[in-house]
Amino acid sequence: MARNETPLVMPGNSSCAGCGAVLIARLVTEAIGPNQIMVIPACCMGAVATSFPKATFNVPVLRTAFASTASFLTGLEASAKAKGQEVTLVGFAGDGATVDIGLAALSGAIERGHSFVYICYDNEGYMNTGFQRSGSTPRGAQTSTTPGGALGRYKAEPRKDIAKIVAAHGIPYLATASPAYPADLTRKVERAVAVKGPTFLHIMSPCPLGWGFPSANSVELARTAVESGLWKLYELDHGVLRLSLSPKKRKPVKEFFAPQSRFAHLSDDVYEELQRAVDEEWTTIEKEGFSLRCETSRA
Amino acid sequence: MKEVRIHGRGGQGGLTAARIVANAMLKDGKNAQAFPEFGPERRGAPVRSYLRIDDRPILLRTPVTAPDAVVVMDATLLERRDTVLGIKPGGLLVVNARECPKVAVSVAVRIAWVDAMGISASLFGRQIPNTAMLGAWCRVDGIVGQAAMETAIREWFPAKHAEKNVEAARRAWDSVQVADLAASATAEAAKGETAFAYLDDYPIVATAYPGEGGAGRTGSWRVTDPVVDSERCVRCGRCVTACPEGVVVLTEDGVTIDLMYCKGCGICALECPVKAIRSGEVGA
Ligand SMILES: Cc1ncc(C[n+]2csc(CCOP(=O)(O)OP(=O)(O)O)c2C)c(N)n1
Repeated sequence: MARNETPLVMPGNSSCAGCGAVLIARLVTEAIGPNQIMVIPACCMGAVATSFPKATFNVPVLRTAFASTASFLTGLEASAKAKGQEVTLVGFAGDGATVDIGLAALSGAIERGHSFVYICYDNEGYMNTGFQRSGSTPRGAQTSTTPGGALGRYKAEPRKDIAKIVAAHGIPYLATASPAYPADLTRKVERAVAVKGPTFLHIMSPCPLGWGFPSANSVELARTAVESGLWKLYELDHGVLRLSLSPKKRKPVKEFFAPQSRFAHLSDDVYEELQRAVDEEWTTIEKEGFSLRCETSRA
Repeated sequence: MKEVRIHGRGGQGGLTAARIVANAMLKDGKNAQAFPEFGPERRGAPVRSYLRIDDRPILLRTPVTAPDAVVVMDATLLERRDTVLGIKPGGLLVVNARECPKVAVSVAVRIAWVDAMGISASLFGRQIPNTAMLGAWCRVDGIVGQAAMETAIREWFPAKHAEKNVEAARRAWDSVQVADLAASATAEAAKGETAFAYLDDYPIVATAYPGEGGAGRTGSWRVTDPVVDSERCVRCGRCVTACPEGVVVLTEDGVTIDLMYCKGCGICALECPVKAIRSGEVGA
């Protein structure tokens, strides 16, 4: 048999071909190793976690209601303490479960300072239920609830920046990552495990079906997002903010948007506007250094 | 009333097939219903759609549990017991398969099979077997005549896709084969089972245990095969880290890929820095 003898993510699970989320799940679980308990809410990875009677992860997984990932982590920490058990508690949740419905629970758990690693894999929508918009869907995207054209508008609002929201809690460790940079991702997961207290990783997760691109391009698209300067890789470690990578010669942002059918309606005018926004952001970073400053207007 | 249940995988177009037939029936003055069973919408996940046709208004709003016909868009779904569950005696089972599929039924039925996979691959270059299955099913079932079927297909699809889909249905109409399938003893013993009878084997707690192939042999989802050129391979392991499924491993001889579960996404081929992996034809 051509593969690991004891994989932590079982092959033959129900994720789509080319799924970015299951790739992230594999990289994360392998970085943490067998001594972990995962908490997964309703989301694609929740559905992938079990095809009863079989489970996909070779570590204990608790599947929770949509909003309660961080509440479960809180309870598990208490239970592990009571039992004197040393184990890494991992929340693994989609963007809907994190930036929308689960935000209150997450905020509370970070504020109370429990020890856990919270991974938000961000596929920029409610993918498991058929590609509805989420607070993390970027502006201009077509989703099944922002279908555009005669049926209604495309998403008009910019995305919520969950990493900044989490950073505002004064969390000990926060990082963004990408499946196209597995070594960087693995290092950040290992750092999060080592840090005491709450830690948060925000990972871009391309979704072939929901974004509308060929399954082979998942990793490449994640890389283009970084190389074009759209998806910034950085970490905030006990108050010290560091960019993990500044693309030397940035790719045009169009290379990220154009292959995706959810952006098929974007015109060259819009691309120019998007390019200008990214260029301005990086000019500021180069001049003043990288910061998590919040813009005053939601332009 | 006639009731049909369509089993497929997300992305195969089972619901579209049901809707096309429903439209043809509505035009014919009949009442019809076509709807999916809502669930996960992931590509490749098993999904069902239902079709009801009657001369009188249809008031039922429930899933079809005792179908007159079962249409199976993907033969790997026959591994699931609930696929043929409840089929009526003398009913019709239509399967996407090159040869007469092996399947145990608890009542005698007619079985039909057609190479919808081959038809779809040659016409569309990928697996969208629905219109081919529609052609085979309409022919052996006799619910819709060939001309009405083709009209309904043309009305459904935008002009640029219509003719290819009509051609798919026509090829299947011409090549479908039918046989009688006797009730089998093992299936007889399972008669009266519910779709959840297998739960009896497990303790009554909602616990699942790690196992590969939770979604079956997902290798059957492939529309292209990864082909490795070991001479070129520099053993960098990029394909190993980039494989979502974790089925690519580095060995002394280079790279091997577990084709039982590889879903054929093609990421390994695209990520390989020396182009030692390519996407080739399935089974070539
Ligand atoms: C309270 C509640 N509302 C709605 C649902 C239905 N539901 C299940 S998964 C899901 C979408 C999850 O989206 P996200 O967290 O972004 O993860 P993804 O599916 O994209 O991986 C929804 C709406 C639910 N399970 N519970």
